Amino acid sequence: MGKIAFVELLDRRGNIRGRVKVDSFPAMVGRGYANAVIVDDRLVDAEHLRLSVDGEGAIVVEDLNTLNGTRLSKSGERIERHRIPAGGEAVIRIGQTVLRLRGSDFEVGPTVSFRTLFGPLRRYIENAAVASAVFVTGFSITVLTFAQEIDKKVIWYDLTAISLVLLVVFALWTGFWSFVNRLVAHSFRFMTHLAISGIASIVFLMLVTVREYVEFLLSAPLAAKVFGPAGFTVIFSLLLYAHLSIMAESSGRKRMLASALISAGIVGIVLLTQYAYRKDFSNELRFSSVMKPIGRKWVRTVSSDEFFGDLYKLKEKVNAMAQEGPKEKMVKE
Amino acid sequence: MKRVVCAAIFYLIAMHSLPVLSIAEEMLPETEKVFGKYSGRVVKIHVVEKESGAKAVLGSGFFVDPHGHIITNYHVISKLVLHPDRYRAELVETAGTIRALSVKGIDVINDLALVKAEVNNVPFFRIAARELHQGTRLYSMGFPRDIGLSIVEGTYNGLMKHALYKKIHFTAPINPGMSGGPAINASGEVVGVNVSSRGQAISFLVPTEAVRRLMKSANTARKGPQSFLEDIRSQILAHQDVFFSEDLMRSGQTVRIGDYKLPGQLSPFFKCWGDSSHPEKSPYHTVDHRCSTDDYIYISGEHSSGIMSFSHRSIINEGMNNFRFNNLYSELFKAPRHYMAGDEEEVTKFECKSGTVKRGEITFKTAFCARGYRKLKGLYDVVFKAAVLSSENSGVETELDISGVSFEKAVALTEEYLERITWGK
Repeated sequence: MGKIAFVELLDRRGNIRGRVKVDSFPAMVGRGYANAVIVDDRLVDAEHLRLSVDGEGAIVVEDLNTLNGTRLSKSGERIERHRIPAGGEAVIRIGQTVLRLRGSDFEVGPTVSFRTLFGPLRRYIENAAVASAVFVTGFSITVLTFAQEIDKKVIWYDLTAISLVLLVVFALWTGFWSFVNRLVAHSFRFMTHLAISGIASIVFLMLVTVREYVEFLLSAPLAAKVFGPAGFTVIFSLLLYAHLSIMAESSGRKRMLASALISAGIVGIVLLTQYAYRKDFSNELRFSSVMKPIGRKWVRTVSSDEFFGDLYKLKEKVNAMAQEGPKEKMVKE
Repeated sequence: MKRVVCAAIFYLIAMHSLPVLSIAEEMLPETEKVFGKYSGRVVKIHVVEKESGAKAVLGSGFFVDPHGHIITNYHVISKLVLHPDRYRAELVETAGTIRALSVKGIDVINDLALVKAEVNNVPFFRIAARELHQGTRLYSMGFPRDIGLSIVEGTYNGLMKHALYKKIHFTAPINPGMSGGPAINASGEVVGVNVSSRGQAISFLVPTEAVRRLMKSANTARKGPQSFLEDIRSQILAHQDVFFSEDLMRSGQTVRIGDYKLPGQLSPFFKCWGDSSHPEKSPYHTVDHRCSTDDYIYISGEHSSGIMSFSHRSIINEGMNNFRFNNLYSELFKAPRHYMAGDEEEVTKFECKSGTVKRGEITFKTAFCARGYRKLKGLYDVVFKAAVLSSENSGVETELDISGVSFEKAVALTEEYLERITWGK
């Protein structure tokens, strides 16, 4: 059986735009219409390359003394003659066109399993029943959480109002992402998004609740301050990761890294803005007021002496601010 | 004989004409007489913003000696004291002549200031030496709302009760612009200085002892703008020593709210109020108790000082689950009870330290917040909040506010305050 080669036309990102099967050699590649492979590129000669097969079954590429020459795509090295051993490949550039040459004996890599982070989960959340259940759970928990903050005797009016508002928010969110999905990946996947909105709300509420409990138990607003942004970064990067997976074909690790970096960047910008405005004047008191129904023995406490003895740091901080003068004035000066 | 006849004729004429003359004088109403006789000694004071050249504050004042010394309120000229670079003070005479005024002394606690105009041989008021009796008729003069010199007639109603610093309760309407004007008796002696009003005819006057003290202390002085700030600072610190004494918390009364005893009326100059609230549709009710001093010290339009107030609130659960109750309790604890106004130029923002303090059987959620005065170094406004970590059915939370106090004093008072909260059925 004679040698069969494939000439593949690649775009800049390495995606294949066209593939030509060559089964009789020598075969010509160029701009002219007499060639086996026609390349529509003004920088390519009418007859640019000749492909042949040597005695050992290797594909030989020869430049036909062309005006702009032939180069290896990766190194840019100009070639007159290049040999592709059996089972190998070459990516070359003629003019502005990138060609990949492979023989039929080229061995493809092993099949990649669909192992993204959401891979196993996906199977479940794409199931309509499971997705609906997840959504209903998320929605109910959200409504219940709000119910805990109502200080009226009859709470049904408030609950109905909150539920309706939440339903609209969830529907809009889900609808928006389904629409984006339709545009990018050509399918709505509404149920999946419904499930994701349910999961996101559960995770978000867990985060808020855990943050409050950390603040209460450790009496440490600072710990809660760190916990909040960190938790948000994680949730946001997971969501981003899930969405990136349908859009790009890069590796899972790369996507994870990109999502984490973008999320950290967003959180960083928010924190930086807060930092920049930290000295803005207000008569507000900002202190930790969270109280939770947990036994007092679990709460980290200090003695009265410790609490009051530690206030000199606060004094120094206030004195430093008083010394600095008002912010506006500093700008003027 | 001739001499005797002349004397008799003179005697007869004199005896008959004197009542006629005094009837003529009595025919003039008293107020009109007082106004006619003394209005020339009252002056209008403008504090002018230098850049715009327009008046920023209008007040009244009066001459206390022939050399141009004028008594007015500190709050009339406070802008000039705090920002001498931006404001100047002027005396506007009835004829429209404008004269520059310079500050000679201030007493921020009694809200008085002594200023001086470069004039001589002016008619002036004498300060009354006699004690007054309740019901004595007094006349207050000043320039209300810049509509011209006015006189109002009212009665002396004694000194204000439950106040640390004396103030005369004067029943007459004193309006904005009359601040710093004199209140005089029928003989034209100053018995007080217009300072503030509350309601339609409840007004207050600064007693004359404070005026005398200020005139005496200011005589020795010489002063740059910085030294007035130093005066304010030291006056407020001295005030704190009188007002916020060491055993204030220990010696005062306590009040029982729920199962807890908390600080009550700490001294006679605290006024206390209580109430309970049973919102119709709420599954809880609250019981409130609050006490506050009345003697606030005016520093500027945006900032007052020298007040101590505290309020307790007990929240009784009537059917909420534990989670809901704790959410409500946290929200109520978070909300400030007493708004402390302040301007960025005068105070810093509040910095807080939160914690959970265990004292004996009670565990408190606490927050100590403080802000510093920018111009009056070493003075702070402090807010202390504490909530007893609740049982399922009730919670008690409290807030203590002290303004114009040294940091150390504030910490000591707060510590004592917390110490006074005890549990016991």
